[in-house]
Amino acid sequence: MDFLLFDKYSAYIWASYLLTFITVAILLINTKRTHKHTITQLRIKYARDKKYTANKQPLR
Amino acid sequence: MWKWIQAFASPKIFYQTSEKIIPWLMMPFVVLSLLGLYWSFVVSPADYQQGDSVRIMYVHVPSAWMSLFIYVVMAVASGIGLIWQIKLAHIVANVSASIGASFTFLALATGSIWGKPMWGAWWAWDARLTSELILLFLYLAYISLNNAFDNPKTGDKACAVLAIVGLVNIPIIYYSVEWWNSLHQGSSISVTKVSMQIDMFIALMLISFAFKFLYGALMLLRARDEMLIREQNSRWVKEIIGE
Repeated sequence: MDFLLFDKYSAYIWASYLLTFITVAILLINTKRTHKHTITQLRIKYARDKKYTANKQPLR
Repeated sequence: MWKWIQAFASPKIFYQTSEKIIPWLMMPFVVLSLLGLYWSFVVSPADYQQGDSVRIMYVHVPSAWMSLFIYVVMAVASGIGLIWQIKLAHIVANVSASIGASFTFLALATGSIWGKPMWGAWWAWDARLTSELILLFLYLAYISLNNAFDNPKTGDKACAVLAIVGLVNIPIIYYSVEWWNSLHQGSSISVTKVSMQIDMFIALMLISFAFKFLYGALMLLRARDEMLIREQNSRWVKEIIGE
């Protein structure tokens, strides 16, 4: 595993790959979070719309 | 072909079809990334001039390629959206902007990390670096402009114009190392010639294709969400969300 130390460039190489990993992870996590948020917001909206429509029904 | 594009651009069909495509983009991304890391760290040799620092190139160069590729996709999608009024084209351009900005940032940051041991400086106001920085600003301007409009239709048109006008920066970035005396090294890969060791080329290609698949998957995932928001009053969205 000594070859993974990469001589004097070790810090630069690992910093680059770590940064790439973090960027890709943020992109993936953010996409997943946005999807969850969108679904939740739409469910809330539809529930509210349903309630509003039900309240507007004429009294019998 | 045109009929197929029109059918796929229909919001409901796009939403249903893209769900099936996404796993086929994510799987190659994972496999190619793992192979790419193995090739970058283990198989690829150190460069005779740059030493082991050449390994930074395997993430820097694909990121830089992605920054250009995504911008071209955005500009083409914007053009299609403006000419043929296809809603999906505008959505593709909108959701691509933040992914493109991330890859541009990554290209600049990894380039800077490589520059320190090789050039002795984190940054130089070189033509290639400066034009790439302008590309990052273009992405940020696009995102800001897109967020500035309440009405997506108006926002789409303004953003499309910005994306198309900004396309002029792409050949400037690509040819900057030829047009000006640049500190940045010239291109090692062209259509006809590859002037690098084969294992270095394989490592570069593996990560480059992994990034392409990642972009495809992220773009579709985000476009699906954007489609749901824009079509929230349609019956098919209510059916999907209500499930």
